[in-house]
Amino acid sequence: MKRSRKNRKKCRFLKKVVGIAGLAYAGLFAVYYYDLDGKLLYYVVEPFLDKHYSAMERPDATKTPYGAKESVSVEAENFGATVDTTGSFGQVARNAAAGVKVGATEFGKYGEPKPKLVKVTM
Amino acid sequence: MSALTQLKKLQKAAAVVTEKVKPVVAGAVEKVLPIEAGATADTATPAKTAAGLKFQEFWYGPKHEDRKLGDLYIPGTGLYKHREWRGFRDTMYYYNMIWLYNYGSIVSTIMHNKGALIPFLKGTWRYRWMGQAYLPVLHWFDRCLEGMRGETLKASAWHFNGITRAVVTQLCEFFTTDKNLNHGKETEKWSKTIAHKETVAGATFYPFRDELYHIPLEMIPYFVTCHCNNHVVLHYIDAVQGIGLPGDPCPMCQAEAGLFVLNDMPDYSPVLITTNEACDGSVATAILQDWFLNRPLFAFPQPMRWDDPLVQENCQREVENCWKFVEEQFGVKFNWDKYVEYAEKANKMTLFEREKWDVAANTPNYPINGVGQALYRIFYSQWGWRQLWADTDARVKKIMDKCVDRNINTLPKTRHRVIAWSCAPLYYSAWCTWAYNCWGLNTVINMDSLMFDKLLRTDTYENALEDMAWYNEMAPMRMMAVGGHEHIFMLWHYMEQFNCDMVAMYDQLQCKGMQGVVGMFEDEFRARGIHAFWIPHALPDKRTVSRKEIRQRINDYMFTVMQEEPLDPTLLDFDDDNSW
Repeated sequence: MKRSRKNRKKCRFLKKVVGIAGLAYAGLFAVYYYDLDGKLLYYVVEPFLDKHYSAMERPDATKTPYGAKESVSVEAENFGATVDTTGSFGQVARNAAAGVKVGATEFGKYGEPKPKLVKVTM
Repeated sequence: MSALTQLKKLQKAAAVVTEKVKPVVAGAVEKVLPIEAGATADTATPAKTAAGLKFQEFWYGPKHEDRKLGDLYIPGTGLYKHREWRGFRDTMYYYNMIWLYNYGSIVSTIMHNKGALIPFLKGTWRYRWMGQAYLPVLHWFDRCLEGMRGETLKASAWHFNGITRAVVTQLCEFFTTDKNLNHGKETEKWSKTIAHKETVAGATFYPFRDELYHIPLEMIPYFVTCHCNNHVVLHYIDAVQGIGLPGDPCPMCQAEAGLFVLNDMPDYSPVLITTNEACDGSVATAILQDWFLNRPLFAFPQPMRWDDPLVQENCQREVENCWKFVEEQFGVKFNWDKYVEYAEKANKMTLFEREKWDVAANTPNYPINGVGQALYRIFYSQWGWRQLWADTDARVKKIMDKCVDRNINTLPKTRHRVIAWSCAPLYYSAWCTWAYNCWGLNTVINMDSLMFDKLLRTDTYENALEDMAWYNEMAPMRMMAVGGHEHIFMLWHYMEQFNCDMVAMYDQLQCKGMQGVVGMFEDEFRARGIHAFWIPHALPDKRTVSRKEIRQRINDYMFTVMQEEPLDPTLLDFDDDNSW
């Protein structure tokens, strides 16, 4: 007797779960078919988010100083060009700062990081 | 026995039973109802009674000519009065395996990335491109998959699922690393992530995989947003013009710089690797990015004439210098074994891509539509190998094999086989879906798909380096667009190879390089007697040439030159100016 009552309870519970899942499935199908997700996003969510992003306070990126890269700007000033100071090109910038004009490079063997500098008569 | 093993056994048993029961049930159903196995709306024998015809329309969906897809739109918005009824099976497939599955897939991808949920929500609140562009992603599926049926619907949708999961993965990587969302703190992951311009091939970083992350700078905040919601990018274009940039340079470069002007870019890496691909407009973008980011930068150039033998040595040295830069900045050594492992995995994908092209070129069985082919290919080849791509390819291969084995005509209303050339309008990549539905123009292949078509040798370091240099040069737009006019004329070769009889020629009005060859193309089209229509556009900026104007151009060509009638006249003219 006890078991059958338990079974009946289980059955009822299962029926409820299946019923709710079935309703949710049908409800979601209505959302899908009538494009209700699209309409919600288009008419409600997007205008709300658009206002939010437009009202957001943001730091003014254009206030970033041009010379923030100290080493680059100082070295580059010497020969009037922007040079990357990282990796092998650091040497280019240092040589340039020391008065060597950079006009062309000869390529070394692969794996040698430093290009050979060639003086150019201006 | 674990629960998972039991479940798998049950699944196998269920599949065996289903296979046996299916034909019996189908046979019984066919006796009672007016349906035939393997038939479609266009091939089924019409029922004799009115009720039978109604049932057939419910089961198969309306015939192509009776779909009236244009009548489904709410004017101006691009929203649907109701989504398309594709027949019972395809509608249920779309609902279950595309709409529900992809919403679920997005949530599960976020949950699988440990600790990503809260940063993801914060990122949605913080970044305009995230909230506005990616929430309506399922509408992007709708636009691109409109009118698709059967195996074409399935295979194309898996491509979009792959792209979506890749986007969500990158979003999770962005937001879990981002200093802006982490009170300015540099996390361990931040110090292990490489930022590089979206046009630097992800394959470059195979030697550092599993030790370092690498995220393309603009792929998610710019490139994919234009496809999902074309309004968002306009904010960034306007922002960079607001600080004095003239309006006529490439709007892609403008938008990429505008993200920084509006401070709408995650801060996720201690370094930046830039490149001059697609053109010197990208160099200008990199200068602005360098100004705003102010951190160690490596400029990784690609030669403007991409296959010039004289520049190959230099290209190889640049690849090595890039690797050295990563080594120096992150203190991580170049790992040859990792390179071999990932290059070989990537090679498998390239081989499968060639198999796909073979089917596309030589049979009517190719189950991927034009926009699915274009976007999936450019996304995976640019970002590099990932497991999710391999999973997607495995699924698509099954579908494609089925189509070939059973000789399924996947796009049966094809009137012309089209090759799309040059770079496409990002705000209307779905034009080829529209063109098929309206005119029967089947875009078989496009230029960007043909990039990176190179197997990477892994036998010796020298060969690997040489191939990496070539691979890096075969980037989108450099190889065939602005890489020299003789390369862009590879069109004739590919047109023949893919058995195409028509060209959709993109005309990026703000690309100075491509504008220079318009006249040459006109001459060649005339001399060769090739049918070609031009698609003018301004890459991400829909304000220059609207979607509606693009459609009008194609309509005019089809009416006046081809003297053909549309398959679905409701698609000729509709207003989607304010749609996503």
